[in-house]
Amino acid sequence: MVRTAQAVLLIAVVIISAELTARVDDKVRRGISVFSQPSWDVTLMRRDSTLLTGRPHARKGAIRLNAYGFRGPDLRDPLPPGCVRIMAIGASETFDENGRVEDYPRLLENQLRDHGCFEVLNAAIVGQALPRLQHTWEHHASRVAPSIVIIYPTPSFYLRDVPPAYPTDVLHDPPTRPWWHPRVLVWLEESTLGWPQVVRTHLLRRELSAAADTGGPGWVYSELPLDRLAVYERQLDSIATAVAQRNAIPVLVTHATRFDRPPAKADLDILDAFRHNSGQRATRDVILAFEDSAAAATRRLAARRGYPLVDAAAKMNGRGELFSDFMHFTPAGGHTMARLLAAKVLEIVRERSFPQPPGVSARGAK
Amino acid sequence: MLFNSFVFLLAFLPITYIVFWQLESRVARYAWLTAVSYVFYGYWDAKFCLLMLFSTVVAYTAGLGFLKWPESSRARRLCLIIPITVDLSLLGFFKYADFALQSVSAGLRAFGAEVGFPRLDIILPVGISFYTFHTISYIVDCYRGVVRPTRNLLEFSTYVSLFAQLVAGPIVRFRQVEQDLENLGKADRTRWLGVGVAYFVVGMFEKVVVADYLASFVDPALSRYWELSTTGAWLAMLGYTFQLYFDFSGYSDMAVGLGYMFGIRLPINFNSPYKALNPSDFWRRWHISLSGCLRDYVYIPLGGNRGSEAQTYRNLLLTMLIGGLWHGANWTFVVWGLYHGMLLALYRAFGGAWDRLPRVLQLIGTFVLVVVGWVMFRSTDFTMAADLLVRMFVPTSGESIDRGAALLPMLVFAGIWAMAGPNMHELKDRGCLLRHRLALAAASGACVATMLGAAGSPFLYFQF
Repeated sequence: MVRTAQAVLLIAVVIISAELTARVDDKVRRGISVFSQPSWDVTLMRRDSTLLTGRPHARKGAIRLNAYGFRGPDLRDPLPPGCVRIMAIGASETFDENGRVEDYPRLLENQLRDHGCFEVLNAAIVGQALPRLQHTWEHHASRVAPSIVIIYPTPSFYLRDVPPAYPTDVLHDPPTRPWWHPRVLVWLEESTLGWPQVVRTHLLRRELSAAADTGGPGWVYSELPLDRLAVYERQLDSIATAVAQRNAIPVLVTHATRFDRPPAKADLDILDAFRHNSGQRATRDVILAFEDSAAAATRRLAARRGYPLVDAAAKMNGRGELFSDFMHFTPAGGHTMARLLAAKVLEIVRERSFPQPPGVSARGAK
Repeated sequence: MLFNSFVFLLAFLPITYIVFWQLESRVARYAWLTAVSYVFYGYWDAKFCLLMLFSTVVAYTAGLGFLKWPESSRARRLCLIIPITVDLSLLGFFKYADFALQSVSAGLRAFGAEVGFPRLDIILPVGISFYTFHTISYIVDCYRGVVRPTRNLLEFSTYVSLFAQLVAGPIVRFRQVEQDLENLGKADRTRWLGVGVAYFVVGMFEKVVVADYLASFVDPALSRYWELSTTGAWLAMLGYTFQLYFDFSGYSDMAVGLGYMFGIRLPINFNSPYKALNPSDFWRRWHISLSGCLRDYVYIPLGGNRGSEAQTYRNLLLTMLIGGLWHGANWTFVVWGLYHGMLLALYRAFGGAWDRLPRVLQLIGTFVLVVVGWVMFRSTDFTMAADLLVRMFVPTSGESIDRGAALLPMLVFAGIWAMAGPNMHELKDRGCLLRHRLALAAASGACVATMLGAAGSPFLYFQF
């Protein structure tokens, strides 16, 4: 009886300690109240009518957003004479959710440190395609008047069920759970970390197969969807034009992934994870063909409009060590991307002169 | 596979443990431990299992050689030199080849020669420094007659590959576990289970809760070291000082705990090093298994303190230089080793005056000297080391650590625990009362929550 009571007591202590640790950890590391339920989406993102931006001064682990909701330190205001302000816009590859790794815009700033005064802002928004990025650029990011804007689009968004479209709906924060819901359980649900690869692969393939069954005949792309490629090219042209209209130079960057053509056998599991992440409709061949076609479209557009181009796809595709998964960067990948961009930025700076952007504090962060 | 991963805790460890104690014969237990240790190691990259197997077979064969030629000094010398050369060549190739080539080309360029070697980008097999030391120490001890070579290949491979200490130590010498390995068939499951679990849980708490928490502040701060103020630089380096200790000590405690669970008593590796009163005391407490190896296999063969004072200083510097290089293929590690060699030499010269200082000054002085050493240890190059040292010792304005207010409580907790609190080996002797069990349960809960909440981070010492 005593032993049973002791065992129950010990289990209760483990559970209570785990829950307390989770809440205290969230409080001290991420600034989330002990008596609330966290939502990274709500923590990091702000929704204002149709506009989606980073939440000013938000924090998640080592990720810190500044007063404008851009990842990184506060803007230098006014920008010192001779300084060039650069902005990177894109999705999670640019934002870099892994708090322990520096995002490539920050690494780019480090790379440029010895070549003059440069300020690099990371205005990426996780999970967002070009129309949303353009909307945010036009109504928010362009206020800080960067001279150079790096555009790193994610083509695989265009393989999802519905193609990306310009935002018209009013946005609302997603609902969160009640404060007393065990936070450890939330973490447990979100964690697949540590499961053996074989288990993760099995679960992934089962989901892909179920999605194909549910979608019915013709749902899975067995050939390159040219209509989606046209949408991608049109929307890329649109955002680059929007950037140029605000007197900034758009730098187009082709999208890089870890995959060789054809993909290495060891990468097939990760390629399936890529398919899963991209809406589950594309086969392995189609998703890679779409990446290649999107890169070609990006090159075409840059040549047609005279925009500077960084061909990351040509330089980084197939180099597994540069990617932590299918398309997000390892530290080495971040450094490589930063090096490629730095070379192009220095080339642009050598060729052109930049007017000093006006101080931005008068307009302030919205 | 990391100790702080769910696949280890929920699958590998329970299966290994249950099957191990179902087996009754010594040989079956050797075979099982060897097999699972190779699975554990192969989880990273299976092809490197062959390298460890090769190293094991070479050292085992050398041991058989010592048995076969007990009287022939020539044959014994060959059994000593050949396998050690093989082991060191492997270590040199995988760990130091790129470093050596790049250093040579940099040296030639400094003299105006346009010579450049391509980077080989050799993948460093995890734990190679540790198991190479295991095999070398075995060969040397056999040669010296300190241990009797084993004829049982499974017993020897259990010693080399035991998953508990395979990838980050402690560096176990065969004689330290020989008796427990011999008695493995008669080991009592319950005898050390409580101690083993306590070691493991406390070690995991040190690693997962303390070290990783500190890392979440220290890593981002040091990645932009050039922006740090004097306060920021000190906070970052103090954070790193305790992060490194709790990371490595935590790993070692987990390893010792796992050893106990399987009836094998592994030696302690840390004895509250930040309580040290002088540099010599520090090295008796920090990474004890490595300093013991350096003493017995480098310092004493070099002549130790048996020659003139100048020779003793030379031996100290050389030993610590090799110790530094063992930690990594980078000149910063070499300088870190030399720095500690110099501290040991200075203490040898002026120890009398140092020892007359008030105890608290000795403690703080030693601690500050160690922290300065960690600057070189942590820095990726000399520019970073110099910049950080200037920022620490010359008042500099700049950024403090992001969310410093959240770092301070853990820094104070870690400092008190490391510099005034008991270590696990002292706690072990205090019995197992209900309050101790409750504390362990609370620590387990904290570890589980932290592991769920954070991406698993590799132990710092794996890179060595």
